Amino acid sequence: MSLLPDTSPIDDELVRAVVDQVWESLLGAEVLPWYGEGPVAPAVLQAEVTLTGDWNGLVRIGCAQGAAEGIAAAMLMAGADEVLAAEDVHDAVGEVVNVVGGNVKGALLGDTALGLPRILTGPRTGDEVGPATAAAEPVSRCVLDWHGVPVTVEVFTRENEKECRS
Amino acid sequence: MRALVVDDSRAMRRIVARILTDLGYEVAEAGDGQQALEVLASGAKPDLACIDWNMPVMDGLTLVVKVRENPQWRDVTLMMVTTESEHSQIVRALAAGAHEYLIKPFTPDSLRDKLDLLGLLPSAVAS
Amino acid sequence: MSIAPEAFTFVRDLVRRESAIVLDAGKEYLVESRLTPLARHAGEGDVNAYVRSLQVRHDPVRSRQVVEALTTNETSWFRDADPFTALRTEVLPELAKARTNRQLRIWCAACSSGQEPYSVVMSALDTPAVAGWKLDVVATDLNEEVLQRARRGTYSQLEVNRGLPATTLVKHFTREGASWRISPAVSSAVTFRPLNLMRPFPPMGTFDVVFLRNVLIYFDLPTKRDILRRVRRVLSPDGYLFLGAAEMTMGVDDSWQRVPAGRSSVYRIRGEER
Repeated sequence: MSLLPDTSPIDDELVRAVVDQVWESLLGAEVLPWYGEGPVAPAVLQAEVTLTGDWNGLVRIGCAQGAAEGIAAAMLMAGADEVLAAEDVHDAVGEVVNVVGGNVKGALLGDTALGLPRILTGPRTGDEVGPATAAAEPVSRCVLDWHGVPVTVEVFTRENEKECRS
Repeated sequence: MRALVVDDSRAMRRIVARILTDLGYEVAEAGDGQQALEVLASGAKPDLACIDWNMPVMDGLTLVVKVRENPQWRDVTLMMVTTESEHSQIVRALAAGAHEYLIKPFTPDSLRDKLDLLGLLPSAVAS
Repeated sequence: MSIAPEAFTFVRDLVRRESAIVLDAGKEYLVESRLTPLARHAGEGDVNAYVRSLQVRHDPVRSRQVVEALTTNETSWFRDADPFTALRTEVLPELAKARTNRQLRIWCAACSSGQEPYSVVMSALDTPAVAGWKLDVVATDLNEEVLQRARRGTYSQLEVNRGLPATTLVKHFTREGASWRISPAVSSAVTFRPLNLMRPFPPMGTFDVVFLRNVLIYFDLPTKRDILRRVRRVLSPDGYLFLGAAEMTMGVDDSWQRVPAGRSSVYRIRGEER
């Protein structure tokens, strides 16, 4: 039974508010919107977390490898010359999406569970949920500027997902 | 003073452990509830356990219940450190026996504040 | 305007020395935004000039303000804890014995975004001796913007993490979108209004307790004296004054007597001055 109204309670304002808090405290960074021209290229690295229950969907952060490394370094307060292993970068970005997803979920009514984060890297084959699939329109999307590189934060509802998977 | 940090994210364990180490704690880590129970059973009893909720194998809420069931671990202070932030989830955790609850994202200051509330700020650092 | 590298380095070293908190590279924007109001208040042109003044001549008060401004991410609930415990366990019960009309009036004189007055009400709601009493908390601040924030009564996840016991959070707050909202039971007891401590106070009646915490540090000695004198006039003869943890009236105004209250201390008007 859904306690939610028909219109999605998840909008850009909510996601932006969550991202602001996460960026400021977890990454010690200011949120800068992406003002780049043209479409944003499909992300090489995607961290996503599912929401299941009265609301069903997916929260995804996508970016290039370099931005992921930067985000991980900021989160871990790594020294300038510290090289982070790929595992650590994935883990850190996974935790960022976990916290963003959890806080988006926290604003929802009803009972919704947060899954464990997963990381996808490399080119899409087309049968996974991916930004290259034109059909998938997120209910919320913001693109941030991480030191000159775009980072996308998107929220999809499960209906979108089904669209992409077929 | 000793602490146990339980979180499936290595990055988060590293962050929490660093804050606690800076405050004077000796920190042990575990990647899920099951591992945490093993660490508790095998070594010196910690004064504090910082516990994430969503973890594989055994989640944080289950861990809290199991720790509180064991009289040997009665004086381990349990603080959930989690992204679960609904009013009802916090109530659930407190009802299950968690002593405190820190919502992610948090700042080092807020973790310190919580420890202060719990009287678990090593006195050399307490202002 | 952006902060000069030498200024940032100086501030970073000062903060690290004083509070063991490290401001990493990348925090320049934070230093700039937090110190701009201080620079303005001090009459310095900009943050760089303000920091230079600190480098030129050691100023413990200014240094302290800088460290405070940079190490307090959000105003804390139940700031310093002990005064609120003292309120609950000693001050309110004592006042309850002396008041027959079951009413209490409290003034929070530098209420900022509202954490202090709301904390005062939450403490009172937790004090059996004043259960069911009419609580009138007047909360004032110079800054109209923060008053608007305070009136709204909603706080972010980060803000509710600061100093608020989890049990208190679930008791007095509800979720609202990404934020938390203070319950009507608490907010209805507080009235927010603008007030400049340096100017004559508008008529406000008499108070049983005044909170004047961590605000006198921004004023020079003659102004501190003047403010304390005028606060004394609006406090009940048997009332209580709370100052910040590191503040005292000694050397400023000797018509106050410092009295222990729990693990904290509180000020009362000396017998002769009542």
